[in-house]
Order: sequence, then structure tokens, then C-alpha cells
Amino acid sequence: MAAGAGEHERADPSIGDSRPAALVLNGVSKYFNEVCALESVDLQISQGEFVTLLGPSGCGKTTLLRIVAGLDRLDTGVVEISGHTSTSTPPEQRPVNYVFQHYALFPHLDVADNIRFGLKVARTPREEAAERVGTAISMVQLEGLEARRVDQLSGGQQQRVALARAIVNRPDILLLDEPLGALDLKLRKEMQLELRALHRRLGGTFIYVTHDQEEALVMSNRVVIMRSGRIVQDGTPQAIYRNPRNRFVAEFIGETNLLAAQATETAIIVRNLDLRIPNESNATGDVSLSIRPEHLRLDDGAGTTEGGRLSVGGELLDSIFLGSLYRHLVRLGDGTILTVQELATDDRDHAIGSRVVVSWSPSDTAILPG
Amino acid sequence: MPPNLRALSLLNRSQRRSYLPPVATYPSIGWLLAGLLIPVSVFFLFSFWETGVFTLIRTWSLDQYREVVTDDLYYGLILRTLLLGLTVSAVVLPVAYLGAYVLRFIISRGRRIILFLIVASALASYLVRIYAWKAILTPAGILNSALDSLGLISEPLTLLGRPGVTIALTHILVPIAMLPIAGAMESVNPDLIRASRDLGAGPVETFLRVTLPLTARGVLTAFVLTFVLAVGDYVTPQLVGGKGSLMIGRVIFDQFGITGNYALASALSFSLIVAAAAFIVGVLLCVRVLTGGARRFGAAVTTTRSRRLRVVWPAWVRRLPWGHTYLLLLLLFLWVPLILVLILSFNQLPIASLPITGWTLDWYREIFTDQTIRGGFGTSLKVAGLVVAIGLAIGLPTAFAVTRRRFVTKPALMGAVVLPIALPGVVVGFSILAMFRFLEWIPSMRSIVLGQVTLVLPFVVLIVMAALQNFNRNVEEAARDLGCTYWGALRRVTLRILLPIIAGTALIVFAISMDEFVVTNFIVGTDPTLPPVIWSIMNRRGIPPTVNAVASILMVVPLIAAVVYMTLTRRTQRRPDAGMDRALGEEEVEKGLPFA
Ligand SMILES: Nc1ncnc2c1ncn2[C@@H]1O[C@H](COP(=O)(O)OP(=O)(O)O)[C@@H](O)[C@H]1O
Ligand SMILES: [Mg+2]
Repeated sequence: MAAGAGEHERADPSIGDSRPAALVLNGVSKYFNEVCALESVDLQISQGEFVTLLGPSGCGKTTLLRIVAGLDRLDTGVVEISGHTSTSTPPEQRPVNYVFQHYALFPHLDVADNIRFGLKVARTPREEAAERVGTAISMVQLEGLEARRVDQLSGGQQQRVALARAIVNRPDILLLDEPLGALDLKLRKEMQLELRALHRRLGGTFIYVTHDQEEALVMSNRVVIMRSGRIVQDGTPQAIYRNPRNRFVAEFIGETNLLAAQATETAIIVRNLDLRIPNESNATGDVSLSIRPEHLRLDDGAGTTEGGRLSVGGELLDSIFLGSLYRHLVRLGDGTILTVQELATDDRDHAIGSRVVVSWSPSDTAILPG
Repeated sequence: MPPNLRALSLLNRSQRRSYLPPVATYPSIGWLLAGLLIPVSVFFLFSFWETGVFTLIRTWSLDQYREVVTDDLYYGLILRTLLLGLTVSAVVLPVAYLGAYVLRFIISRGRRIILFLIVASALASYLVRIYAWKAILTPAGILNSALDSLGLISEPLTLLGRPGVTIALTHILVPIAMLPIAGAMESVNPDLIRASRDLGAGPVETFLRVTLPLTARGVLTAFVLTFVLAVGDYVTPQLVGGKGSLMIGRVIFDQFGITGNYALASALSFSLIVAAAAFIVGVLLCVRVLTGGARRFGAAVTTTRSRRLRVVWPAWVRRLPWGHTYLLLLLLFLWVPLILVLILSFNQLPIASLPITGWTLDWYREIFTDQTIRGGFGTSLKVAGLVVAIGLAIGLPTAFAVTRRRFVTKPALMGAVVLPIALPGVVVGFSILAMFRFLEWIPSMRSIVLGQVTLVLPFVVLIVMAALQNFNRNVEEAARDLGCTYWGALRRVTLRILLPIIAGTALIVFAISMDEFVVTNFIVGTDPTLPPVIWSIMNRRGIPPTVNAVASILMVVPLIAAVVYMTLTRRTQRRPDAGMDRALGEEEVEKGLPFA
């Protein structure tokens, strides 16, 4: 049985800590008048990592990126970029580039001049600039559109210009603020894979912001989950999925079934359902049990469950066929509705309204505070 | 976060409430002090002094106010002027409202060009427009001579006087009143009206309960503008007023040139301001009380009658192009007088009458040899150039600071910025003159520039502010992120993107400066600009036909400026995602896909 994750758990030590830090945030807070956008955020990102910041809208993701880019002043804390304290360095002096949520392309410049902008400001020699712009344009597949006005581009093309305009400067850290948010689903899926490929090719540090949990799981091997200006959990997608730290994370990442329970020193008791399991965590008081739908199994009332599995009885409310999967909704004795997900391979047919037994393995149960 | 840290963070620089306005606004504040606030204060002081002939005796007294209040000539004039303001507003507002309404909701084709033609008529010189009405309405003028030659009248009609003043002021004020009303209507979604009809409200109730309340702010702004401009006008009553229509603006003006009683002029001015302000507040209060009534009335109309007695017009009546007809009439009213002046400038006969018997370019040739007119034109160009340069130099930083910085005194600053257009022109002009007299300075080109920059400042600040409020700051931040310093980003990106707006503002300021008369006429020295020159020519007995030629030039120049302005701003007015609309096709845009 898995318990809630420890306080300073780092997801995958093999990735980060061996390499020097690209970004360190230490106790960073930001207030807008009385509104707290960030509260004592600590975050360390190593060079070459692709980190995704995930959280609901308004949780402070944009604010965090803007503070890293130097576009917002912070109220407390320290920012370190590539080993230098940069807390009050102006944005133009940071080795960081930002891809804005709505691209913020320069409307008075064409595609090539937009991309060339940073090199021009830095007075890069003409030949070198031309070569780098050319490379960037081919990387984002914008060949042939160099002389186009940016307001004559589609959303996907504008997004690519914004990306090229940032990477052409070879920043230590590339900040991407929901860059795919305005694209339609198909284009978004394509761009997700392209961004991953781009990261492998460039080898820099990417910090990617999204509010879409599915996208977060696709994009990177380290996900930082934020809520109300705080970091709630930080780890690999697998670790977060298996061991969510609290109910918020459990519900935010993937789908889950939650059962209210009480923890004593020796056991965890779900009173309404007459369940009792040994308590191997250090949780006490009110807790929630989180079980993913795919870890639940449905048997008709007659069958017996194997030893060690937990089981509860209920009434089958509905079965939905999803191609490769079935989703069953089961109402338990106390009114709780569980979602059960099964592969559609076995053809057992459960009649709607019939009595069923839902079972799962104790090792697939996460115990969450509250 | 520990409480002490939190307290510290709340004291952070970015959060601290700032009381003083930002340094960027200091030039504007200084200019407003010198060009308006101090002069008006000095002028106000005058009203408490006694007066000799063209001198002031610096002893305190309330005699001037006593005279204003007790002499029925003066308080009668003030009342009559306020009534004129009310009459003009009562004509202008419905005409302008209907025009804006038709433009927004009735017609779908030609909206842009019609709105442009209406607004452009306002840019055609102020003096020329009054003069056009004089040429039309005088006993031997165009209208009478035309009616006479058609045999419709045996004796000339008396058209000057109160009707003439009302018509001329309506002509001047309708385009101005239409701007705030059209602006308010722009924000009324036609779907709201459809929704109201769909929910069972008749057209009258929909208008009273939906359209009118949603546009009320625009109407009130238009009312205040119309009223203040009508009340402060001293030129129109003089030119087309005839004997019976002396107005207070004219009396105040006469204290400047004829009687020289500055103390009385001051007392009259401030009595006028107080009376006008009280009048406006009174009208606004009445409107507030009445709007509740109007809504109840709307409800009563529908519930008691219109469901049963709704008039159903035959289809062919409804299909008539009412909207276009109305706008056509409005455009004719606005443009025919101006076109007449243009035609008369080529008239061989030196009198303003129709029909034209022969054509000539003599009058144009004559003005190019006339030293006074050429001198006036030269001064006008110099002044306008300076006013554009200074107005932008001090107005732009103010617009940036007001849009982007927070400070407690912002409302006061904005009040001071719009004050030059909120005060009657006769008061602004007289005040600057009064300050010069007080300091014993002689009016010159410097005084004109001082006054005109003050007058154009509200336009610069308000136009640029509107553009900055719509400006996507992320674009500027992107420039910083890509290596620009604060000033670099401003120069390479922000100002570059706003360039068409700034150039357009410069053109507007140039046109205003070339045309400004009401204030400038007080503060010209030996080097007058063109409008005062024309004014003095027009005031001679028997207006020479060269005036038609000068008037035509004065009218055409701002129109060209307006066309250039439209061309310059068209590109920036296009929606930023316009290109995407094309790329994605109309259907997806309807669904609100990109940047919804
Ligand atoms: N300029 C600002 N002024 C006031 N409040 C702001 C400003 N920017 C962000 N906030 C507030 O800070 C919080 C975090 O915002 P943001 O970082 O944009 O969230 P996210 O990007 O995660 O959606 C929100 O509550 C938002 O309302
Ligand atoms: Mg955001």
C-alpha cells in the first residue's frame, strides 16, 4: 500500500541532481494588492530538463514564468538563473526567453524580422544572424513564409513564429506559457510531439506551462503541480499518478474514486462500507482512499473474490462502451458512486440494475489526508 | 508566510500607493498651469476688483456680481443664453441620436463612409460653416434669391436671428454630438435588441428599456458637449444672429475689445459657468427622475395597448429605405452649405446669390496677392507646427503615465486635462488674455501657442490613451525579453506600432490649430493666424468675395488631413487576428475558436 508522498521527494534523482541547476527559486512570493499569486515557492530545475508546470487556471503559473523572465517583480524570495542571482536583473539581461500565451508577435514586422528581433537587438553579425534565423525557420517548418505579415498567419503558424523567435536566441531556459492553448486538438497533439523533439534536439532547459493534465503527462518526465500559488507535488507523471499527495492531486491527475475513511493507529476503516484495512502509513484521523478506475474490477454478485482483495457490493447503474474499454458506474450501499474501468476484451455482460461486486487490491489504494 | 514578511511585501515598491503624479506628467501639468489654471484663477480674481476704463483698480468688491444679479440686461442675457443652449440641444440630440441609431442598427452598407462624411463635415472650418449660413440666410442671400427667382416669395424672408443661430449651431454641433452617441451605440450588441423582441417586448418598449438606457451615457456626454459649446459661442450670434439675438458670449467678448471692462467680463464669465453648471446638473437630475418614468411608460404602452393595437405597416412601406433616406437628408444638411461656399468661390459676380452666371478663378488669384491673408497663412502654419510638436511632446508622456501608472491624484489630473474643452471658449480665451494683461505682457505668437497647446492637449491625451488601453503590453514585454531595454522596447516596438495613431493625432491637432478661432481671437498680437484675419475681413461691411476662396481652402485642407488620417489608421484598426479569420474560414470564427 502506498502512502502520501514525503515532503521533499524529488521525482527521479537520476535526471536532475547530477547536473548543475538552471533555475533555483527560493521562497518566492508575489502579491497583487491583497491577492496572493505565489506563496513561498521553492523550485529547482537542472540544466536540460523539460519540466511541466500544471495547475488549474489562476493558480499562478503565468506569474511564476513572468518572475523567471523578469517581467514581474517579486515580493519576497530569490531567483537564481544558471548559477547567478537574478532576483532584480532586468528581463533583457536574463538568458531566458518567453513564449507568450497569445504569442505577442510584433505586428509591424514580417515573420523573418520577428524571428530576427532578438539577434538584431544583440547586434549579432549579419551573416551569423541570417544563418541562425534560417535554422530556426526550418526547425519550426516555416520555410516560404519569411516575408509574410504575422497577421496573415494561422494560429498554428503564429505559434511557430513565437517559438522560433525565442529559440533563435539560444536561451539557457525556454519558458512556454500554454503555447498550444489556442490551437485545435489535432494541431495541439502534433505540436506536443514536435516540442518534445525540439527539446531533444536543442538540449536546453524547457519550462512548460499547461492547465491540461493530459498534455502534462504527454510532454515531460517531470511535472510540478500547483494550486493557489503553491507547489503541491513535484515528480514523474508515474509517481504522481500512483502516489498523489492529496485529494486535489488525485482528482486533478487522471480520474479517481475517493472513499472517506478514518485512520486509527493500526487500521483504516471505511465505516459506511464495513471495510477495514491495516494502516501501514502514519496517517491518522479523517483520510480518503483513492482508487483509480482501472484498478477496480467488476464481478457479478455470485463470484468470489480472491484472497487479499478488498470488495464491496453495489448496484450497476450504467455501462458505457468506449471501444477498447468499458466504464461501469456502480452505486454502493451508502450512495457513493464508483467508476470502474475494464478492458473490453472479456465479454461478460452485466445487466444494468443487477447486483455486482467491486474489488481491488490493497496495493492499488492510496491513502490521502483529509 | 510569516506576518512580518507579509507586511514587508505589502510595502514593496510596486505596491506602494503613490500620491504624486509621475514625472512624465510634469510638462503637461506645467503647461496646464500656465495656459489654463493660473489664467483662469487670475481672471476669477478680476471679478472681485473694481474697474476703470481698460484698467483694473485693485480694491476688493462684489460690485460686479451685484451688477450681474441686479441688472436685468445681464441676468436676462444669461438666462436667454442658457435657453438657447437648451433649444439647440433639444434639436441636436434627437437628430444626432437618430443618425447614430440608423447607422448602427438599420443600415448595413456604407456605414464607414457615411460616418466619415458626417465627422469630416465637422472638420471643415468652424468660421466657414457659420459664414456659409450667413451667405444662405441673409435677406439678399442664396436662399432668398433662389426662392425669389423661382417666384415663390415677393419679399425676402427674415431668417437671421434666433432661427438662424439655432440652425447654424445645429449644423456645427450635430457631428460633435454624434461621436459619443455612436460610441455608446457601438457597444450595444444588436442581439440584445433581438433578444428583447424575442422575449415579447414591442419596438417601443425595447427602445425605452434596452437601447436608450444602454446609450444614456453617450447621450448625456453629447448633451454636455452641445450645451457648453452652444452657450460659450460668441461668433455664431454675431454673424447670423441679427439684432434680436444678443447672447452672453458676445457681451463678454465685447468687454474685451469695446468696453474694456475686464472685471465685469470676469464676473459675467463666472456667473455663466456657475449658471451653466447648475443648469446641466438640473437637467441631469430631471433625466434621472424621468428615466424611471420612461421605463414605466414603456411597460404601460406594451401591456395596455400595443399587443392589441400594434400598427402593422404594409410590407412595401417597411421596405422603403427609411434609414438611407434619413442619412441622406442629414448629409445634405451638413454638406450643402459647405459646397455652396465652394461653388461661390468660383462665381464671377461678387455677390452671394444663385444661380451662378459665370465662372472665374480671380478670387483665388486675389488672395495669393493679399498681404494680410498670406501673412495670416504663414503664421498659422508656424503656429500649427509648434502646437503639433509641443502638444505631442508633452501629451504623449502624459498619456503613457496615466494609462500605465497608478497614482492617487490621477482623477484630478484627468480633470485638469479635459478642462480646456469643458470650459466655454470665451472664458479660456479671455483668461489667457487677462493673465497677459496682468503681467503686462504683449500678446504675440507665443501667447497663441500657449493657448492652443492647452486646447489640443485633451485631444492628444485622450486619443493616445484610448490607443494605449487597447495596446497589448505583452508585445512590449516580448521586446524586453528579447533584449531591449525599457526605452529600446518603447522605441522599437510600442511607438512603432502606435505610429499611425500618433501621426493621425498630429494631423488632427494640426487641423484644430489651423482652424481655432474662439480662443485664438483673444490672444492674437500683431501676427494673427488665418481665422482671425478672415474674421476681421468678414466683419467689414459687405463681405468681399475673396472670403469664399479663403473659406474654401480652409475647408478643403482639413478634409485632406482627415482622408490621410483615415488611410493611416485603417491598418491598425483591423482586428489583430484578422489574418487568422481568413486562414480558418468564417465558420470557425463564428464558433469563436481563435482567441475567443
Ligand atoms: N496584473 C495582475 N493584477 C492583479 N492580479 C493578477 C495580475 N496577474 C495575475 N493576477 C492574479 O494572480 C493569480 C494568478 O494568476 P496567473 O499567474 O495568471 O494564473 P495562471 O497563469 O495559473 O492561470 C490570479 O488570481 C490572478 O487573478
Ligand atoms: Mg496563465
